[in-house]
Amino acid sequence: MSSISEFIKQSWLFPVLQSVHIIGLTLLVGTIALVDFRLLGITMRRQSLKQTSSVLAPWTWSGLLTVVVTGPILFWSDMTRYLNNPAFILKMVLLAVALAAHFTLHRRALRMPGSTLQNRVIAVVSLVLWSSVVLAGRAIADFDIA
Amino acid sequence: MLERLQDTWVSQWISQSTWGYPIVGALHVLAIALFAGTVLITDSEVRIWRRIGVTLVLATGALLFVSAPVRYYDSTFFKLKMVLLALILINTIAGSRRGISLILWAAVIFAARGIAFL
Repeated sequence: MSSISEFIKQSWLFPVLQSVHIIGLTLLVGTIALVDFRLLGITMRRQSLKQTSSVLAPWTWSGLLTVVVTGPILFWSDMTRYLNNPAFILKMVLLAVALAAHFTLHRRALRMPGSTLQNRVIAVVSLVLWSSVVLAGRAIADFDIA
Repeated sequence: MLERLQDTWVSQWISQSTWGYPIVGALHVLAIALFAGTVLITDSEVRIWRRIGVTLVLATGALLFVSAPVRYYDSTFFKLKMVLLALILINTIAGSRRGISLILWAAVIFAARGIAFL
C-alpha cells in the first residue's frame, strides 16, 4: 500500500472525498430517477421526454464523472477493507448491471419515447437498479468484516 | 429524555436489527437524491415529488436520530448539520437565493459525513 493511500485513509480527506462522492451520487441517481418518472408518465407530462432528459443530462454526466473519480480513490485508499466487504462486492455487481442497462436499454427508451409497456418496464428496472446500488453502497459501512 | 427515547422499540429495532439502520440510511440518501433531482428542474408538476423527497428525508432522518439519540446529541457535526438545516429553512422562507441554497446543501452533506467520523 502506498503512502498516499494511507494518508487519504487516515486524514480528513477520506470523509471529504466521501461527501463529494455522495453529492455526485445524488446528482446521478436523482436525475436518472426523474427521467424514469417521466418515462413512466407520472410527472412532467407537459414537457416532452426529450426536454426533460436534455435539461437533466448535463447534471447526470457531472454526477457520473464525480462518482467515477472519487469512487476509485476511496477504494484505493482502503483496498483490503473494501475487497473483504460483501456489501461492496454486491455494489460493484449492481453498478455494472445498472451502467450496462443505462447505456443500452435506457438510452434506447429515450430514443424511442412514448408510454409503451417496454419503456415503463425499462423505467422500473432503472429505478430498482440504481436504488439497489445506493442501498448496497450505504450498507458498506454496516457490513465491515473486521 | 434522550435515554428514554433510546429505549423505545423503534429505536431498538433500527439500531439492533441487521437491516434496520442500513435500510433507513439508504432511504435517507435516496430521498436526498430525489430532492436534488427535483431542484434541478423547473416544472409545476415536479413540485409534488420535491415535497415527497423532503418529507421522506425528514422522516428517515428523524428515524436515524431516534436510533441513537444520545450519540447524535453529543456529536458536534450533528449540531452543525442542524444549524445548517435551520439556515436553509430561513433562506427558503426569505425567498430562497439559489446560490446560498446550493452552498448550504453541500455543507449539510459534508457535515453529515463528518458525524460518522468524529
